[in-house]
Amino acid sequence: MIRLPGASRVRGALAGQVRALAWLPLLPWVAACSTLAPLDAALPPGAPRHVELVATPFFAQEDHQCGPAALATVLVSSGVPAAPEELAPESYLPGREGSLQVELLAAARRRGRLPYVLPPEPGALAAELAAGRPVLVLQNLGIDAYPRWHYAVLVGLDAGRDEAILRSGRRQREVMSWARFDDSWRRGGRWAVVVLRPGDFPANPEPLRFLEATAGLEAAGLLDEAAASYAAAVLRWPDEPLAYLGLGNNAYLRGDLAAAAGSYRRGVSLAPDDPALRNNLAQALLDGGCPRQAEAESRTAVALADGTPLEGDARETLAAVSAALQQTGGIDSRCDIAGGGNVPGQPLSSPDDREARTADR
Amino acid sequence: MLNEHLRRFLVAVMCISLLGAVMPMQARAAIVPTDRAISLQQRDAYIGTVTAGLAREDLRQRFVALGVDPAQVEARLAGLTDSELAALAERIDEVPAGGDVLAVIGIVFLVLLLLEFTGTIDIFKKVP
Repeated sequence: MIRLPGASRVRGALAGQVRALAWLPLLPWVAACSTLAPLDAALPPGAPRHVELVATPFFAQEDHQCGPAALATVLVSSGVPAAPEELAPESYLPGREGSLQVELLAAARRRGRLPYVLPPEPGALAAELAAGRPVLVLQNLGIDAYPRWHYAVLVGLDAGRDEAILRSGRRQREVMSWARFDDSWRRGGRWAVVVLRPGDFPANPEPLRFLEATAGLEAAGLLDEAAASYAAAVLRWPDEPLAYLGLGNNAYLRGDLAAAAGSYRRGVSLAPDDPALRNNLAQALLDGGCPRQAEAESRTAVALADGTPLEGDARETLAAVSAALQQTGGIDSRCDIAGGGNVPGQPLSSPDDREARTADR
Repeated sequence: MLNEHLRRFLVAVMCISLLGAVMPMQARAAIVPTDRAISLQQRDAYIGTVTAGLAREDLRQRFVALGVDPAQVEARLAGLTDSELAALAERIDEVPAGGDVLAVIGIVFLVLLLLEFTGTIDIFKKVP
């Protein structure tokens, strides 16, 4: 079966050992395959068993540029005109011959869309497809030790045939066995993204995941789009303090100090021990010409932030408040924001209510 | 005489303009940004202002070194949150960069070559 022409017995033995070692790099891959479940077992009970978004557009990828092609696919599906050629200059990294995940997110933000990174579960993919949204996924088509990263767009699942359907590379309709897709997706870190209109939600939104995605819009300078998303978030999760932090920060960045202070206050009523909310409330009051009111909040913030990573921020705010108090002689002379602006969500709760909520959290 | 007056005037102008440059920075100390507050609660990790600034500066250089047009680097980094900047700066060489699906053929070739050298297979025999 295996000929070793002219080999001595020693060389033959050596070659035998090397031959055995040659299979080693494949072992992790083989081991990983054995843990995978069929699609039907991986999907939660309510998830659709068969869905394919046939109307999803297709952009054939140029050399190395699967990132821009996949991103254009999901952007156009969400209603934004986009083409891989225009996305490439802002998301392709020549030195890496590919696109970074965060740069695809940034490119989507710049086009007024909210990229939402899904929880790493097959059920999340199925739920988005059922809602009519194709999903941008990262695959590793190599092995862990020799990764070949690839972006594709998942447009369908079929639990009956145990298959995934993708727009991928130069194939408009690539059908992969679920096991093969799931394995490549797992080795890509189970990274999956949908792009949403600001103000819309994914199928099963998680509050912090959603707020983090919304903060990304602000990083790209899209304050109005972020405002729409935060406003939707406080209506959906009226008991989530961080939603009010986000809405307040957004108002602060847009220069609406009254609305900012009002939103922070709502957040403080839900989470009286949150140093970030107190600190930001103090900052908004200070900027709004109310250093006296700011002082009380700022001191509370410093006490709450003691020993946390926010300690420095809280002390800085207090120093600025103290300086302002010295300048004004301790009077809120031009304070006109204390009433607070209109905040969507619930009305302010009574003090008794607050106690109860705090105990809950 | 005139020179002395001019000098004093210039010094005064510079002092005032310096003061002007410092004052607004003091006035807007900072709110805690949303993405940092979330990362603190979600991952127990906080990205300070200094860390975020260093990460941005580091990535600026790395992006140019990786072939990005220097005129575009700033605009590209501007779309990232501080948490994303910090995470990227820490491991830009390791994070996935999705590229070419065709390159997969490369690994098949490597494995075949390895098997050929160890004598397991014999397919390159005809190639001198």
